[in-house]
Amino acid sequence: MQCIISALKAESVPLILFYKLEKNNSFSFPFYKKDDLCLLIVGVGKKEIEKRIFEVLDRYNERVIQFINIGIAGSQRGFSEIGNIFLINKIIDQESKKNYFPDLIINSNLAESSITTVRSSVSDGGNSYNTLVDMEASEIYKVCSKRILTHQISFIKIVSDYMDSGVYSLDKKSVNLLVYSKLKEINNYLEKIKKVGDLIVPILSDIDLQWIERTKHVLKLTETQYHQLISCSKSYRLKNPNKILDDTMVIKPSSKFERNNTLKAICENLSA
Amino acid sequence: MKIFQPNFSHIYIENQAKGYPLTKIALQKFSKSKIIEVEHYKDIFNKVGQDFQIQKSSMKLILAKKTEPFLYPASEMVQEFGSPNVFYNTPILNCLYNCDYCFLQGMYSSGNMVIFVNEDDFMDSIKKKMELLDVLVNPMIVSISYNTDILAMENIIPMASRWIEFAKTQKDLIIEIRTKSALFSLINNINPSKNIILSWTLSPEVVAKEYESTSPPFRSRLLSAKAALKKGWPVRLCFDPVILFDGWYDVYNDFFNEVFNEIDPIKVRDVTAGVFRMNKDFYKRIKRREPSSKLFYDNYEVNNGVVTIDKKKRTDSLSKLKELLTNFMPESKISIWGE
Repeated sequence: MQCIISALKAESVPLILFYKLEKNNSFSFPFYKKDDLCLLIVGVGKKEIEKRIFEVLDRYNERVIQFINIGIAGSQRGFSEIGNIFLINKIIDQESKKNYFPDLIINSNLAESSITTVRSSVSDGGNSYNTLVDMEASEIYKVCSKRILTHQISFIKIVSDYMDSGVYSLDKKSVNLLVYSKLKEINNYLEKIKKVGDLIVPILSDIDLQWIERTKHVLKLTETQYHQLISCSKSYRLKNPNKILDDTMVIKPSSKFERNNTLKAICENLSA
Repeated sequence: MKIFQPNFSHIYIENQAKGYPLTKIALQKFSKSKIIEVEHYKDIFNKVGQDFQIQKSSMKLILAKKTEPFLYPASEMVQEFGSPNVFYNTPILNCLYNCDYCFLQGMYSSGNMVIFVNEDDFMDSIKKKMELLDVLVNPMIVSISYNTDILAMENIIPMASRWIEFAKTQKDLIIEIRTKSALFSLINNINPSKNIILSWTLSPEVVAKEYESTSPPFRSRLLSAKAALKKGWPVRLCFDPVILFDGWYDVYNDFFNEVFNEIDPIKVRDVTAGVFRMNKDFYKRIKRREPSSKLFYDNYEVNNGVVTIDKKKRTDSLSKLKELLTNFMPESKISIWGE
């Protein structure tokens, strides 16, 4: 599953329309979804980010979930033209002075830049920043990396202004247009990182996992024995990609001794 | 278009690593790579939540300056024919290759590679240590390729050749360069020296294909070792780890015949062998990530913090292995881990 994170509704609208995402009212914040793609609006600044991201993660217990922060950013005049799109390779948190480095494994063709996440909007031209500037990226990275692997977090920013009248001071229509004009690049990126997600195939299928749960229940396995069974099942699956896990040895035992012997026999059979 | 960026598409560089000759070489070699500044290499190399295996699909280079310690006592899992003054150092962290059984995937959270550019500090620490050791009786032995394959990196950054030149100047020092590379040609112009052991890890083709898929094929490594011997280098052959599978004995029997048909065993300095073994914590860390190698789902025992084949199976197989090897060389030239 992929989850776009944006700060503003104006950044989200072109994406919601392009991907035909539908609002899910069961969340207490703006959340849109269709099939394997969703979009979460976190608002301006860091305040709501952790709560909202964790709520999405708790609700969708997916094996692989990719978060992509897509939004606008300010730039010093001369650093970039307005409308340019960047993949972020370094995030500097202005407050904590901590640096974060998103993994850059995808062959994306997007230009790259570092970004500084500031606490308050910058309106003095941003001459002290030789990076892009936003108000969310560092917190999004920090929060996501607590729960998911770092290569599943990425940041795409479109330059919206020269920080001479405050970040996010643009009218909605201008923001809509900036994102709208980069939908092709954004879509290309999302398709590419989806392929990386698709590469991660768990060893055990859902059917295998059901067999393991059934066996655990019938034999009343201890936690240690349960993990032993998982390990043997993985070994079996790697050696026998197409065979099914067999129920014939899974018989309710009459004692712990019998249970232990049954498990031993099952594991020997799986490892054979 | 390929999904992944090519290896070393990005170079992360510490401020304090700038200006060193090795830094200049790396930046020149990868002049098209994007350069990203980092305060400390650990900010990227040790960050939480990395996927070692995914990162191996697009490795990045991190140029850093190492601080002390520059030298470590050798692990008990390394064989060195009973010599007491054995050490290793870490001029590079991580390896260009990605063998299934490698402990590095459990040791490091990152699949990226760190090159420490202050090579003089590493070399000075060896000189200082030699002053404290009784090297006249037992020369100091330093493995410089313990956490990497330094020769495999030679066409990227010529560190192996620089270490060889250093070792030649130190009378009582021996450095071991353990490798799976087929790049001997890159150091073929250097005169051999008794101060350097070039060690090739060799595995039967079937094992190499299954467990060492990113390393050069067995034959290429063998021919590299042969070329080094021909030039007069001290060469060690490492049959390590020997993978025990159904029919392993016959496979290894044929394999040793093939190796020593190509290479004169009398000319080989020595050989080492051992079965799969790994520090318990590294093993656990790898297993948590659900590796796709069968190797991690076999039954092992844990002995003094080391995960390995159970003792009976291990000693049986190692004694058979030793028997095979003694067909080619005296026992004194064979060192086996886990007997």
